[in-house]
Amino acid sequence: MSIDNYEELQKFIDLNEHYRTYLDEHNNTRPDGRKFHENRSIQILKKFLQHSYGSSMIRFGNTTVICSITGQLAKPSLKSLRSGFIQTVVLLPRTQAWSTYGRRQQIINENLTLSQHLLDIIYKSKLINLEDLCIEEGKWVWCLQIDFQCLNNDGNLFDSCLLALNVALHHTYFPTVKIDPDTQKPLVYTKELKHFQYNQQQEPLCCTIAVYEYEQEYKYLIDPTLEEENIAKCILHYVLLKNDQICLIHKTSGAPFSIDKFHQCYSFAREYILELRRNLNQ
Amino acid sequence: MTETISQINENDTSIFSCLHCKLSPISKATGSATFTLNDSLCTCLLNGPGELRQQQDAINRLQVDITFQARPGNNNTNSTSTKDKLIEQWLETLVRSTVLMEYYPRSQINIVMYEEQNLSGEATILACLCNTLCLTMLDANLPMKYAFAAVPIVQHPTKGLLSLPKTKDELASTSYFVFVFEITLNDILATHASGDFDMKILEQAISIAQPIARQIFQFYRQELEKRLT
Repeated sequence: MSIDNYEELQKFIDLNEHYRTYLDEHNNTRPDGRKFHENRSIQILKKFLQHSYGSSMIRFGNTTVICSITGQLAKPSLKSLRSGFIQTVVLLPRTQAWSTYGRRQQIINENLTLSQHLLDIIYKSKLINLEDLCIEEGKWVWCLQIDFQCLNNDGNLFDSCLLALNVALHHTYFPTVKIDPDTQKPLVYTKELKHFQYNQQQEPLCCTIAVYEYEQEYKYLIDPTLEEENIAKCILHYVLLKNDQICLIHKTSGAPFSIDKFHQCYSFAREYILELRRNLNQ
Repeated sequence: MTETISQINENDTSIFSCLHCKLSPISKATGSATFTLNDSLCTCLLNGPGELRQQQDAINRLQVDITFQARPGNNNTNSTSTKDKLIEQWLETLVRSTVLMEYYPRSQINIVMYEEQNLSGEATILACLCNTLCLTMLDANLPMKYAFAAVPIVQHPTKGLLSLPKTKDELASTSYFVFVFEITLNDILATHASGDFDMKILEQAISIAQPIARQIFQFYRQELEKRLT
């Protein structure tokens, strides 16, 4: 990290102070030029991995996430003979340098948290029905492995991972599996691909809002960058489904909220997610 | 140090029968508490501001280290599952925003939370953990900006919104809300709400939860008074 000019030096010493002086000088714009409610430019790339069943790459400004969906055959558990398994893993490969040793454990914890959030959303919004992953009851089921590789983390991993998941699922093709009646072994026909059946009606998409306190009132920064996430008082995640029902609200502690603030954030989240859906359906 | 069951006030109904608490069950720790909410039981212990390990840097603030250990035996492995990590991270933000961190530069506190019993789903255990954490910090006399209390609310398909649900109701419910209120203005510090709902239901849930949070604060006061007499 270069500390050439005065601005970089100020950022290194005290990020909060730098942000506050920037907001004092330029009214209503963040250091990267956006207004408070503006999101970064989104780029979507579909179906670009050769060996996965489904894949997508999403860029929110500088944040880059690759989602890849693969499957393995497995025996179902005795508790539920018809359900398959889903496993979501969020990884941050070493494409970015960690500044201090302590930060590495923090990053690993954040990734585990994000993996669990995504799994919860899949189950709660019934995006993928576990029964759909069944090949033959009691014998063979699919174990869906959904991996998220975050090539560059510039804030707002939650939104990008969820959008990447939606795009990847849309274009996932599974090979057909037939059970050989003589040997009871599964035969996988890799050339006969069929579209993966999932609940396309629900399209859970997330809006991350970082709450920053400036001049005794809360400013809501939508789609925060990494620096903004570090200085924020608290972070809100709103996950909305296609019919504007809420699937998940997660608010970390730091800024006490009353009911009308929740309403305000909900209206911001709705507009933002409407914009995301337009991008998704193009 | 004695186990106390709070008296039931004639005006407030059954909430105090769902809450039990025992302060300082672990005498060696700086602060500890055991808290019961319906069918969930948690213990938390805190080792107060002490020396910092050399690797961690906390120049002018307190370093907070939280470990959450779920009931062993539910999952096959010994390591913390991702669900427990999520709970750990969420509770860490709670501690960071509550404790006055600037008072203890270059020190760290270690908090260990044990879930001893959880027969119902996620909402009750989350709320139980939050309340245990607050009581532990009060027991350890850490300087805090406010006390906080968590209220679990579930949405049952037939009975509607239930607060402090019983085990049977919670296992049958579709969505759950956990609100953490703070004592000064009764505003919401932190939320975790999951399921399928809209803003009206959220508003109703908040309005149900606010008076219950006040009762939980009253319970805290009673417990601490009993301890000091």
